Amino acid sequence: MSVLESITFGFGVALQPGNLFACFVGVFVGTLIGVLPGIGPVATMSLLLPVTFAMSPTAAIIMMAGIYYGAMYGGSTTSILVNIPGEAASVVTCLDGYRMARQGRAGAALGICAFGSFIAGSVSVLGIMLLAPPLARIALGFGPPEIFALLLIGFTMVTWLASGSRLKAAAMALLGLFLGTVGLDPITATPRFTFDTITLSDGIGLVPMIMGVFGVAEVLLNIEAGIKQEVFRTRIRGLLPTRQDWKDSAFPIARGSVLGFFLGILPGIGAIIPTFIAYAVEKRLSRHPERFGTGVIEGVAAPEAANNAATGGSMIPLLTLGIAPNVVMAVLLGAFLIQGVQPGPLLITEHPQIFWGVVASMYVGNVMLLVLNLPLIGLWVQLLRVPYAILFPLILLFSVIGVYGVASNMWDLVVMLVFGAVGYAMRKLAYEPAPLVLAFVLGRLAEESIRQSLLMSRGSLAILVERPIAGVLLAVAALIIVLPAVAGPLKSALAALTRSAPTG
Amino acid sequence: MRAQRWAAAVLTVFGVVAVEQAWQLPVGSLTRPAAGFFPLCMALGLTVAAAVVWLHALRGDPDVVAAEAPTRGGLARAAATLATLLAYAFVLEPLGFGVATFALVVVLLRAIEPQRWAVALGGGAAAVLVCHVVFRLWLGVRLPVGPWGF
Repeated sequence: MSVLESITFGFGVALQPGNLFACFVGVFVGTLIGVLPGIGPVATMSLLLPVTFAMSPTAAIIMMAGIYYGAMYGGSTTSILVNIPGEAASVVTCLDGYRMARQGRAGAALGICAFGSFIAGSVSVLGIMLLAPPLARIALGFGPPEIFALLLIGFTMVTWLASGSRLKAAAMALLGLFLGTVGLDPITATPRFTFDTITLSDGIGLVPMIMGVFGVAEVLLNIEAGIKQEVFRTRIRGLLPTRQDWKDSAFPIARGSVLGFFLGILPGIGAIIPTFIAYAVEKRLSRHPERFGTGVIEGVAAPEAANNAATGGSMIPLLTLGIAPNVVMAVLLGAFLIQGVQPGPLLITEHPQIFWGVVASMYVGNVMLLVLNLPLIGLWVQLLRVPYAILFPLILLFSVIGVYGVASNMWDLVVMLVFGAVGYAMRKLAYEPAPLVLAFVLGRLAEESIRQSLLMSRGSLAILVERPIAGVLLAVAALIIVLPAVAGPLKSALAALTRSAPTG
Repeated sequence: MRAQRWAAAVLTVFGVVAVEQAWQLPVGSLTRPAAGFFPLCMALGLTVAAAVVWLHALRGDPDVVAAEAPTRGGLARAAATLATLLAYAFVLEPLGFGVATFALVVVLLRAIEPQRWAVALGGGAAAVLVCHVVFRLWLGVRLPVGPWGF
């Protein structure tokens, strides 16, 4: 089938009533949790994983994906009106968005976020349509060494791009890899660190761990800090961007979309880092960089486009390689596995209705979000006025029920609470949770691939270098580690050369 | 800074215990890695990384010792929330979803971020009703039934 025929088939699947409803539920819930601070798409998707048991595979994945990119839309509302990021990928939007609100331009900020997100989402859908099928064909040639090398890039990026201490991030990644080995050995079924308990024989549950580290820990932090959101009281008018707004935002949206999409493909990046990079790029390219942070529309348009485009980009490694490039995709991987579907190079050929249905539904979902978000802004503002003191018991209750609902096992709740305490301590002591959780999720695949590689090579690690694709990927991982160390001295050397070059 | 040193020390000790436990599994060799091979490598790596973090913490490396100190009152609220949730986990099955959840919400609304009794009791009842409708009836999640039938 040509790409055009495939996407037409995909729209046929996405527009079926059941799938359309799932898309609507996903984007609505996603926007809702994007607006509410203290709960994000990771926790919400984990919470709804048990619900997907009763759904068809296509509808389940459509709903889960809708929650992710819906949250990107919703997060900007809170950033602009409350100066608190509704979810982590909207933190940069606070810088200029809230300033715009204080200048009476909340409507323009909200409007350009909605339209920019729509354009970026459409760009990323186009990107998936064009890139995923050829990438899946290439991935058919991937063996265990290539998969291990690719995972190494992910671990390296999530560690090296940590905002705090890289040493601590590395320790967390290694801890996550170790915790991922709890349970039965995937090859020999030997019990490992189970202490003869049934709960641990299945390994540490992904849902309790994620709900603990990202859900419960976040609430504990907010309770400890005494979070009080104060919605900036302003009449929101003029949601449709003016001609000048479009003139100022067009190129930032375009650049943010492309940047976000390609960065989102890389393992370990997620949706947050593209927003920082997009903002930095716009500031660098602007004729008036000093105005960034005072309420310029480019400072809102570019990061919001980047985070939406990144959601589409991050679907590519999952759908074509079966590798979750970030924690959100790890939960989506869980949704696939619950349905008995293995994402990877064979997904397009064996389950075309899932692949093309999900891709088409992302476009449908983006249209829904644009149509919903602008009229519903009043509702989101009212929701933001509910005091956190009333919201947090509900967030905790939903988390608890969600975790209990997975296996009706109260020890899963204990695991969640243990990780809640650990997550809280980690945040207070500046240990990043993302390396821990990503390494935990990818650890099993990393172990299988390295063990298979060693069996293939009869114990020689040189196989990782001898195979061309694996060698290139390993070189990329090495470059990521080495680049920050040489960038500084290289820059100084270049500057010195420039100063000493003869003039005239 | 002291908290950082303690945290790194605990992580290092965890790593050492993990190495000891992994060593008890069949490790195999590079040619034929067995069940304990990967966990042992990861545990060794963790121990080394944690020990280096500990050393840096002892030396006062600013990159490592950066931390956000909790307020005393805030820490007490967070600890009380965690303790309440832990108690909920243990009474959920014996008491049943309805009673346990009502008690949980009332305690959280009264003890952690104090609200009026009317708000706490009303909130508790509303939470049980909403969760019953959404999770039990609509989503079909199996929630424990206590001795009083709900």
